[in-house]
Amino acid sequence: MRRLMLCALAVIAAGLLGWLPATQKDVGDLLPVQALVVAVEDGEIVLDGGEDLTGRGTDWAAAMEDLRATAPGEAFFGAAGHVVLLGEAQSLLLDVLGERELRPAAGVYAGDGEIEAEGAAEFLEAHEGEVTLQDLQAAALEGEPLALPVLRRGADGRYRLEHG
Amino acid sequence: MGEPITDRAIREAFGDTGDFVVRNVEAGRWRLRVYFIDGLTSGGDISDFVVKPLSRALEGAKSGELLERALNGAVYNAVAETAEDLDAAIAKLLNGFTLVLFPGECVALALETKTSVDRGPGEPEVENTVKGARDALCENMRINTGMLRRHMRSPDLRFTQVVAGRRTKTNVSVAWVKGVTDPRLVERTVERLKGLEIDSLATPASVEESLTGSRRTAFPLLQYTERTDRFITALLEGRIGVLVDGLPLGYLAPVDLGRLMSSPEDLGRDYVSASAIRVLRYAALLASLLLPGLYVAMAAFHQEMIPTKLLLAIIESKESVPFPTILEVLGLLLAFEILQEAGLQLPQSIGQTVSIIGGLVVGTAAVEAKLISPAPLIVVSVAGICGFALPGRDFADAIRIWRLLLAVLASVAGLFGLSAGFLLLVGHLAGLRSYGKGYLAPFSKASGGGAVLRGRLAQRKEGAA
Repeated sequence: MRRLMLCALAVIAAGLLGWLPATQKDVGDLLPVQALVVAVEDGEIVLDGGEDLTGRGTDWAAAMEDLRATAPGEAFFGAAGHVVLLGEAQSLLLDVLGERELRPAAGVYAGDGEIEAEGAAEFLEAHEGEVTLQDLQAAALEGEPLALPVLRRGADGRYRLEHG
Repeated sequence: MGEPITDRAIREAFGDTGDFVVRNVEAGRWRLRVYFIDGLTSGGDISDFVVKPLSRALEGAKSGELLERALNGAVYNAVAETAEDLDAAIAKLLNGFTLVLFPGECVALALETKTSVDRGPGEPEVENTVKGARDALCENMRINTGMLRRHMRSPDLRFTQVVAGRRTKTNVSVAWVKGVTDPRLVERTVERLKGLEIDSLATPASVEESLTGSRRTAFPLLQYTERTDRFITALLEGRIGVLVDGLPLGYLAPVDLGRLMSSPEDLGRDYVSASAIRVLRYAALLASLLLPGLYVAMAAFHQEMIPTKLLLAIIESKESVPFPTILEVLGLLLAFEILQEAGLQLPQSIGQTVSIIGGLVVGTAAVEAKLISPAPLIVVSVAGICGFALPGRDFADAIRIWRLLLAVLASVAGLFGLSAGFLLLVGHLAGLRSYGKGYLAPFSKASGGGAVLRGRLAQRKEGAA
């Protein structure tokens, strides 16, 4: 029993001292990003995660860092189901593929028009694309380019998805 | 030879206690003294089968002749024995005998006049049954041995009688089956009971600690049952049983995890249904043990593991809730334990009301008031209900303690803490031994398996769970 107690105390001490790879962040503090819209404006990368989650930076890492820093809570990308690359931002596909916080099952889309993260998330929940981050990673490894489905927003404000 | 039996010695032994009765009886020209303890003996039996034959049928020239004739049937009583010394005489009195002291004799006559006022056997209250026998063990050890005899009408069923407890002088019967039970097991148990240096053997904990040694574990090292059919089945598997006078249950040893997870109802249905229910029971064990810890680990450390829609629902439900998930789960686990304890301490009718008010009303109100979110409430409730699916209450209590410990470890170190805690638990269980038998033995390859599923009765090996 004494050994058991010592082992349990060792685990607790390791946790309290922060020696463990996982860090504590309560689920209640999370601000989930459901759709991440990536755009390039004036040479800067602009990220829109919806609900006051925006970030700007000269490169992908800086934009992500800005989004986290300005978020009113803990920005959480683990729930992001969709990544929309607007216009020039399609050139950032490699950065997106290298982002470890995004889920491999997240769908990737090319965007066209005035696309907002919240509206896009709502639409894409009902009309999911077929290309995911893991598909793109596999295609990149095999050297076979994949065409992204295109998410368009018309003048009437309605979204439409065109499969590539 | 102990202290001789005299009137003065007997009176001094009991002092001025109110239930000790002494009366004189004239038998011919002799004056005899009759002693008994009111409450343990039947007044009618003493009048009809002791006093009446003593005063009417007993005559003799010498006091020794009277004793001889009384022993040989002049006093018509089923059990007539002699007490050779004071200790034996006191023991007889305390066991419901009436003692007759003949003038000038160094032995006393002990006649059985036990009272029949007893709760008697009733239906099992803890171990419910659908098809099984409904005669449950009661506080009277002799009634219990009688009931067991009715289930096993064989001379091979043996009861070795021991008196334990310096002050309580509790009668204990070690039950075993000749030719089936390992004699070393019986000898070990009897020796342990005889060697006990304790004042009392009146409570279940004192029996359990005395028989198994006071181990530092929450897990039971003796199994208890109130069902006679389960007791006999266990004896036929080569285990020993212990009946303690005054306790309405019987103890069985050795015990292991497989036996604690099996229910007597498993033998009341076909092997397919019984096996399916056993699998369900093991799933309930894991859920009861791990669910709160797993939820804490996933909600506080590894949110990526939660399916997206569920995660979004949890996040939404936690809006406006002031407490972090860890506090919610640990607080609810403690509240659940308090509620359970409150239900046990109160009379049954009030206990149910407390459970309903505590569980439903307070729980729902707390969720509506945004003091807690629904997910932890559901998780803790499911874990609690799964705990109720475990057949042994002692075992379920141990799981409750470890559930809390695992939740604490998960709240400090996430899945790492939960996994470390679970490994510690398995290591702890693997180190436990009940009467020399490993606690996890049924799950080892050497035992041939079969701990989880119930085999067909025709193919069961001797001693299988």
